[in-house]
Amino acid sequence: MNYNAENRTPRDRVSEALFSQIKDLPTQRYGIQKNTLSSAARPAAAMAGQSNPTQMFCPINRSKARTQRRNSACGGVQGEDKLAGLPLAMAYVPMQEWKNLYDLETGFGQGTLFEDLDFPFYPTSCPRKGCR
Amino acid sequence: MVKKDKNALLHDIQVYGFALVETNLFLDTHPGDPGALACYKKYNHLLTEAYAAYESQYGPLTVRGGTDDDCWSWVKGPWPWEYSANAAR
Repeated sequence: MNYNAENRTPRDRVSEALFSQIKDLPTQRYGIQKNTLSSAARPAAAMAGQSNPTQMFCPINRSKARTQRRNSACGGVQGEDKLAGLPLAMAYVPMQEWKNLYDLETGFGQGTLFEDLDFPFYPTSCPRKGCR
Repeated sequence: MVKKDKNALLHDIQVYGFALVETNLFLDTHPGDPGALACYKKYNHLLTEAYAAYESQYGPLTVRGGTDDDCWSWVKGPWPWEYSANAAR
């Protein structure tokens, strides 16, 4: 079946205006990514533009969030959703390749043998009170 | 065979076992990947060797680990919760 011909791909469901609006959004990782490995061991992180792995990102504009705090239990996250309007639950997963393997001890410690899948998540609370 | 510390052998078994499962999961979706297949063979061999080394020195890890001819080996060692007995060995 030719999904493109039938206008069936997820990309086709997004209007040009919306697509141009979201395609240049910077890729950010929320919370703190702890730099547990040497910089030489993290080429993927460097390629993704995370020059400072310990830098903290917060999805919420702080001053705006302050004004919205009364209306929302978590500081007005809804108002900041830059992806609003996209189809729900459209995910893209490229095939993984057998590459960038950790040595066995490192992989055992990281919980994955694959550096490309090593996304440590360190939940941090939002700098503001009452926002988790 | 060089005698290796009991905990070091257990650690090796965990590490090789983990690597084997990771490879297993990768191969589930990439059954023809030559690199992954080679690593599967390598890790499987290492794990088998580590199991054999442990069980020959410290007794069976699972009920499939064999037994002495005259006595059921499975019940001979300390139980896992007998911490001091295990730590001393």
